[in-house]
Amino acid sequence: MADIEKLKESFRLEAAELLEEVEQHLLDLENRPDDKDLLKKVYRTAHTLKGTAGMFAFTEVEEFLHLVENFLDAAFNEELTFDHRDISRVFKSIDQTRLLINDADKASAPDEKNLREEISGYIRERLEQTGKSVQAPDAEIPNSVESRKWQIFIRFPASVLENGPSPADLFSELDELGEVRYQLNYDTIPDLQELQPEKCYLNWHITLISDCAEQDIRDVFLFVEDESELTITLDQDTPGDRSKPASSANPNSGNGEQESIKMDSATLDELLNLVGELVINQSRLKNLIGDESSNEMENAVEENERLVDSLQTSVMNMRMLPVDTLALRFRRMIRDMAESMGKEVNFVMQGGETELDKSMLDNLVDPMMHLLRNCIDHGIEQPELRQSLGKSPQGTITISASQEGGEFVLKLFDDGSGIDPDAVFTKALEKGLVSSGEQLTDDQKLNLIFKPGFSTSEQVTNVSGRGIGMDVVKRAIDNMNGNISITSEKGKFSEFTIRLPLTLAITECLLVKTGKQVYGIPVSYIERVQDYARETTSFRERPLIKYEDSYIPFVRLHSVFNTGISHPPLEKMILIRHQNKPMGILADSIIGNIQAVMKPLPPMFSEAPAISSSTILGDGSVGLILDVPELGALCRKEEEDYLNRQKNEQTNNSNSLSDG
Amino acid sequence: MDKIDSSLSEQFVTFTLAGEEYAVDVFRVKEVIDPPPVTQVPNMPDYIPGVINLRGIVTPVVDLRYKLGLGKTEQTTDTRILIVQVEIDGKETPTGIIADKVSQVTHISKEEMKSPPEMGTRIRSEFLHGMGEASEDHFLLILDIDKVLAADEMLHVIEQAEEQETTDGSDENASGNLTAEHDTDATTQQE
Repeated sequence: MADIEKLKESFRLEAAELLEEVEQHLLDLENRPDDKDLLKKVYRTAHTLKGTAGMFAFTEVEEFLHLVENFLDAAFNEELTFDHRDISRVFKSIDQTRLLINDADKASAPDEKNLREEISGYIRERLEQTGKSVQAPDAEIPNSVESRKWQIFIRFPASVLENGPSPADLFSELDELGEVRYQLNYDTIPDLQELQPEKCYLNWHITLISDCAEQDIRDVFLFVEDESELTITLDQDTPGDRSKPASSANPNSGNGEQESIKMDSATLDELLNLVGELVINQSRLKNLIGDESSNEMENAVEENERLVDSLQTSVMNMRMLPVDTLALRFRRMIRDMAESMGKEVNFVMQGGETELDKSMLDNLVDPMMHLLRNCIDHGIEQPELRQSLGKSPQGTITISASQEGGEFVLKLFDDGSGIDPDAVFTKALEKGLVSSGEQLTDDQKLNLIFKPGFSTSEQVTNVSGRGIGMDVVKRAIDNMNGNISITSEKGKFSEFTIRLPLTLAITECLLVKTGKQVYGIPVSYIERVQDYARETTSFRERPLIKYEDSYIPFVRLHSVFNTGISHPPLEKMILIRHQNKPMGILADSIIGNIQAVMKPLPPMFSEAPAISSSTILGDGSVGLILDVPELGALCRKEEEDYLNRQKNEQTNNSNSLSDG
Repeated sequence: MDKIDSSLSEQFVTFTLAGEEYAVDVFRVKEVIDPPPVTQVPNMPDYIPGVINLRGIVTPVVDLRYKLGLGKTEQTTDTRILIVQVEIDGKETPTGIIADKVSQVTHISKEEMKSPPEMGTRIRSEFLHGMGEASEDHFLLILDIDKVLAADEMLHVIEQAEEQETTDGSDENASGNLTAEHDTDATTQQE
């Protein structure tokens, strides 16, 4: 029983891939409805899926897909032309198939059943219009599994006729694999005097067109393989799939495709966890050997460190996936949303090859979906309205991904109605999130939508609607140690920018000490580290320190964390760059670099300011990782406060002057 | 009796806080450990000394004694941390609670359990599942650990001043407690 479950599970994995493939082709097909190739691809994939579903006794899936297949077949044979509604039905069928395969319980709910019946009914009706019988057998569709052309050379051992097996038998076995052509070479037959009639002097060039694997061919010659001369090569001029790379000269290299295996992502997580522990243990080991170690010991530990490093890199690379893997879901969602709201949206994906840690991609889905929904719902206008505004009736949503320094940047742009910063500000005032006296730039006003409590679902006006759940989105991004911001121009566009560290799991950090506490700072933020003596502050009252030729804001960890201890006369300044502005972090001393395995802090610490997560240090204790963007914001705020104070003082001064 | 939660088992881990015996359902306690080094998380309430590394899982530690208003825990050789499973934001989270001493696992049948008294205990009755009689004149307070840990503020002692003397002479300003110095009102030294 367990085996059957295992098989079913592997079918589910395969089915998920096939379904995605169909979806991808369908989305393309919608843009190019006349592309017969695409239609054929959709058909074939659906056909393969149907076949496998049958094998694994997913009867309902098989029956359902059979109908869909007929529908596709009719379109392919031009018995009917797919219109928008037809494609929508096919999309829905894909969803239903997915549900049937993955969640039988849910699929048997009355709602879902009705939906399937509705789809089936629709398809039957459409098929009847074509006059074609619904029961049309699934005519042999060419090449449902790709055939390949194999070139085989075989020279049997001379003794084969005495010892067997008979070449004739082997050839008839080969015949069963596919279409075979033999070419006999008899140029090696010796002169008549030397010819021994019981020996075999012949060799053959055989061309086989079949969907079999190389191993299947080898199996035929299994008993003679050792003594024979046998080469099997895959012919480049394959009748089937031309995209497949041809086999190399090495007959053992399989069919030359890059082999891949499927792996449960939980296994991958487990592997990463283990590597994480290994990294921690490695630094512990390094601490332990200290000074009293022998040379050999030291070498061994160093070698180990190198190995652990490369192991870690490999595992991290395994976890990197291109953003394109999400594009399909986005496209599908945009399509469905736009359709249901009668809007026209063109989706553009840029930089889809940019890679990001798998777990982060997964965590991005929900916030991105939310943003997209908002974009279509409130951003993109109705086609008529757009036209009257002089815009193209079709709105455009662009998602672009890129890597900037140590950060992954994802931008979501729409050319819709944009957001009015003043309306946001007014709303924030109502909610008591800002005070009326605050002077904010337009961008600062816009970014108020991320404040918790900015919007509630009770009133859905055009502006508040765009803010719904933005604090949830922000929290999701914060949880990944990233940040999100928005720019917009009313009536023209809005653009969300999400910045994330490249990997979530392991980050190189600089360990600094403040009082008795040790903190980690992700090195991706750090520009340089230098000594800082208090005396060099030239503007005593202003929280700025001199750096090269300019003055930059800074924070002292002692004050951020209220340690109640005073700092030493000579401190370390860690220069970081936050939103392209330099700033300093002052700590007591530097301990060194570590590979920090990021561990989330328990939920009760989510409010802890300026701490983003934690890690396990070499001595086994917990170390805290600083939230650099938050420190940056703190820094800026302090500076602004200072400037405001100064302004007030100046006005006071001038007031007292005028009084006097 | 109607106040007693029927989902409770009848086995309890008993421990001491400021001289008084408390109990938690044995099924909630994952393990009892010697206190490892605690990393202080800045700007957190005083009853949360920080986090520990529990075999790779960063686990919060709560100074239950302090939270219940019984003074900060002073670490001795008897001090233990009970790791309990609590649900925080819908997620099962292991949490450490500091006990002056962990005594034993004891059996209290449902019949023996009494509803928490409205008065006369050091902590408010809403944080108790009930009381059990361990021996004569010797009561155990059965803590509702979910409620105790979920409460954001300090749980004040009822009428503490008049009838309770601090059992072992420690008070809130006791030095040598588990945490590093953590004076939130300390002046900052920024110039």
